[in-house]
Amino acid sequence: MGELERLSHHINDVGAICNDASVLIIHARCTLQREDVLAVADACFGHRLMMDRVVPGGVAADLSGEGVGKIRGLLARFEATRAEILRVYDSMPSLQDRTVTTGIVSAELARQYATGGFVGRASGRAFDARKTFAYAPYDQLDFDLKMRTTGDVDARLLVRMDEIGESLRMLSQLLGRLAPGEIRTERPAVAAADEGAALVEAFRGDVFVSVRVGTDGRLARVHARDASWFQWPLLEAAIEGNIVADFPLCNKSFNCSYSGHDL
Amino acid sequence: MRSFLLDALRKGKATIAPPGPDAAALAEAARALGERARQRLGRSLAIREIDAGSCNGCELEIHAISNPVYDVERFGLKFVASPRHADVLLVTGPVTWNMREALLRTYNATPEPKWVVALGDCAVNCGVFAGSPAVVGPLADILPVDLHVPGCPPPPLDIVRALLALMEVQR
Repeated sequence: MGELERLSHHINDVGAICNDASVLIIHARCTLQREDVLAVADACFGHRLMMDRVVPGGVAADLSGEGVGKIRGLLARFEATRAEILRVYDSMPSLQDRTVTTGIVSAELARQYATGGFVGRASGRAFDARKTFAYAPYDQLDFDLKMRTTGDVDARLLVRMDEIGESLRMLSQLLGRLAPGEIRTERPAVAAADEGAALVEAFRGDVFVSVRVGTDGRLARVHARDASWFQWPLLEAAIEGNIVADFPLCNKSFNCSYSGHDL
Repeated sequence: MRSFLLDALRKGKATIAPPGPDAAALAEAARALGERARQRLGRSLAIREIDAGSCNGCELEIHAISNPVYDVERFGLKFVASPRHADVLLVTGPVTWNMREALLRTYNATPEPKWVVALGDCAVNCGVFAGSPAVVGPLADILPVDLHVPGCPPPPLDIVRALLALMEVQR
């Protein structure tokens, strides 16, 4: 589900960046492909955005044999779209004129701000929670950490396209390994006060969550940190020295989360 | 680029057939809209979207209604960049203390006649954010709400059908 979500968001962002450079046809194509992912997710897991489907102790919906077929079909269609969009993107100098050397984030700043996700990886910061901490099932999967070094809008777009390729590879491997069995275990009762933390790679980058449980079994303290916390400050650096018309491109190439940051 | 055009010609259009208006929304919207408004607006609505503190899930699905599958502009529904140009305020999320003032100012900046749509469970009853110290309350506590669209988030088809209901009673 995490990789399906990544596919839907990455392709949406690629479309949105092209839309801001007035290439509406790529945008339309990307939103159609996103809609395809969400429709398949809805059919397989019962919710378009797969919300509330990962629950404490497991997952809330089991993938049927029919669902596996649907996802396989989606992977083939997505790969075709990805290849075609890359081909069109490469053949449009007027589009690349807007993205190449626009909104540069230096490797030094990316390192200093510990920026994760495609923003960090487009500026040469080789960090991905799926590789760096290799939690299950990523420790068992064959995939590459995709990185670029130019740090511009073009690099952030291409890192997404590269990651789409890797997600498609991962999904294909995962579908071949599905074994029947329990999808959820009972949550153990909390006997004493306890504390835990987790770091996972969401589509924007690493999401950190820390939880402390009190002796009464209730949450005593929760801290959630989205990848955008370390990306918003760099957007300011990225737009410096760029023309006003390029701000939307810089902004979309970051696509930071507004929710939880300014409201 | 030519490949996209040829592909579109070969596959036919992606846009789905126009859905009918949602029955419940139709009844609620009929109560909200007066005869005077029907005469003034014709078959077009300008929508200003306001995120009053949502998780952005609703925004993802609001974006989706503009994609080629749902293509909401074909019905005369249009998103605008200023409340001064709006007929409808489409509000998502529980109303947070940080957004309360901005929401009220936006409402006051919208010319009459105007309607307020509460989109998503959070706007209807604060959803999972109910009881948070950052939240003022559900939208109906702050502004008069004309139409509720429940869901977490409501799927695009539900949003389109609710907005069509608003259009329908105007006719």
